[in-house]
Amino acid sequence: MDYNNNIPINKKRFITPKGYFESIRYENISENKIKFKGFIVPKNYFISLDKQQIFNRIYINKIKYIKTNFYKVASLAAIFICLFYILNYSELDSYDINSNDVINYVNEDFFILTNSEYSELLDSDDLNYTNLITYGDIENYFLETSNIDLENLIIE
Amino acid sequence: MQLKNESRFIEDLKNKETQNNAFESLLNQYKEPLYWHIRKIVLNHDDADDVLQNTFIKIFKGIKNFKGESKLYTWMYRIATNESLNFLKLKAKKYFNSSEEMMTYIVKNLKEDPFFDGDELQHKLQVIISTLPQKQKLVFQMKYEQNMKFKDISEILGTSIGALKASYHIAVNKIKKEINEIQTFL
Repeated sequence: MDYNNNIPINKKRFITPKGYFESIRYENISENKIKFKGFIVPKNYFISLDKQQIFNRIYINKIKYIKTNFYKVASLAAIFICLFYILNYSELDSYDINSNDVINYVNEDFFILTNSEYSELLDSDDLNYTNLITYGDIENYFLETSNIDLENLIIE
Repeated sequence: MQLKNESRFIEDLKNKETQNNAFESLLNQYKEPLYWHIRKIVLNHDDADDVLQNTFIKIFKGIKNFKGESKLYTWMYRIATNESLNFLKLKAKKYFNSSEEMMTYIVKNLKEDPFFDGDELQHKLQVIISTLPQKQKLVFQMKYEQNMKFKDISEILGTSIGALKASYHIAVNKIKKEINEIQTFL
């Protein structure tokens, strides 16, 4: 113990952990961590940040922009096409329907109407008996088709 | 921080033939100072990295419209500041109820951030700074921490020098008072 101005001084009063001074190396302080009042940056961050990274990001942003807008534009186009189709082709005039198609459809076995349903479909003109085939018409028909034996034909 | 022969450098940046090399030179010179400027605003390293890259993208795209009415570096700092503030605004809108709530959360969790190793006092300083109004915060960071001139800060923030000096004075006094109280307590 030293006595300096009558104050006892123990020069070995402070101790450090074993190997402490060996562990302090220039690399630990300057390279690994760049400190700025508490804020630190990953090692080599500024070295790795170069113009190619910026250009890559510009390219990625462009792709994202095109993708986002592609879906929007495609949806709008689909809506427009649907609207166009609905407005132009939804109104079907009865004259546009082919009468043969109607007859064929009615004659299909799956489409069966009862007598009452038929009568509902017919109007007064259809029920006008003068438009029906007369006996005279039938006679003339058979006269014209000479193969038929009139005497043996039973007309009801 | 000004570039030598700035007008010639700007011409190189606008010219397609020399643009790449000029931009690389610009990036190498300004990536660090711009990073720290951004980092002081957003606090988090990953966010700062994001904003920094977006800033340079805007600089690259916008340089052809740069008229030279201000210095190149104040123009870049203005872009960096606006990008940082917009980033925080969007983040607050997405994840928090308000900007104040977001800043409180970020600063409170600063100790858990692997890229923050400040001591208790440094952490308290960040807490105090986060409570300042936006303008005072920016002025304090630019003047005190980055040692920028009021004239340049005025060009960046679009505020008069007088107003900036007043904001800075108020910010410093507030921080001093809070720090003294903490140190007294400690």
